[in-house]
Amino acid sequence: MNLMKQHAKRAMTTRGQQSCLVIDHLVEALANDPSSSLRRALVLNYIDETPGVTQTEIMRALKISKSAMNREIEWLFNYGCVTRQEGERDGREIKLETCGYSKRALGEALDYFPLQHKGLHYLLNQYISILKQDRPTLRDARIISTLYDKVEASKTEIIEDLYDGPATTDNRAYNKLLEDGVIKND
Amino acid sequence: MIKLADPAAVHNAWAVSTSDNLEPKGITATFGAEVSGNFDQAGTVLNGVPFEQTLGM
Repeated sequence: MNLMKQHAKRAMTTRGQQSCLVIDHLVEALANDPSSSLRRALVLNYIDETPGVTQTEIMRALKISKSAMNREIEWLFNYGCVTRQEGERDGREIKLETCGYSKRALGEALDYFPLQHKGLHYLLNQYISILKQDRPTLRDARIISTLYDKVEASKTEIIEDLYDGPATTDNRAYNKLLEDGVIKND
Repeated sequence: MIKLADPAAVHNAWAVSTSDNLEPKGITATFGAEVSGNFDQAGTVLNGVPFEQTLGM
């Protein structure tokens, strides 16, 4: 049944539409916060792929510094995206798992990738590289997905397709992409 | 109107990530070679190999 649902979702939408939907599901999975970084999405995806994984293991796998990792895990825990459980043999070892709304929304995003987590992992890394920023966000990713879907759009259309955040934040993200040469005014 | 500066990069990202195989294979062209052939609609993916990789980049 799940496989049928995945095929149907892929068949009913164009790749451009899918690119927008996947980012929307990731925003939902990360507490509806489009300011969440793509790195945070990578961490959530890795935890979902490897239930019971520890922070140290994620740090090694994703090459994230300890301080950045601490911040991401705290955020994910505080917003109810992951659970933390002490290891049976070593109480200092905390095992992580995705849960609740976050797991469900991430599952919706994963439906578009035949290789599931590995496909999403690849995509997020490619977007990080395309966006040319230290800390690209899901908002930035949605702007380029919108343009991938529409091919061209006015600034107003791009901003309207974003989430109901502060206009100044949306404008800042848009201007940064223009300044960095990720998008261009033709 | 606003456009992506490098639509091929975004297309590649989606084409490869939503394929059944994330590993590039069949890379035959070398860097600097003129590339032609059966590209898909956006002209970026040839036989599942991202455009950049066909160039050996």
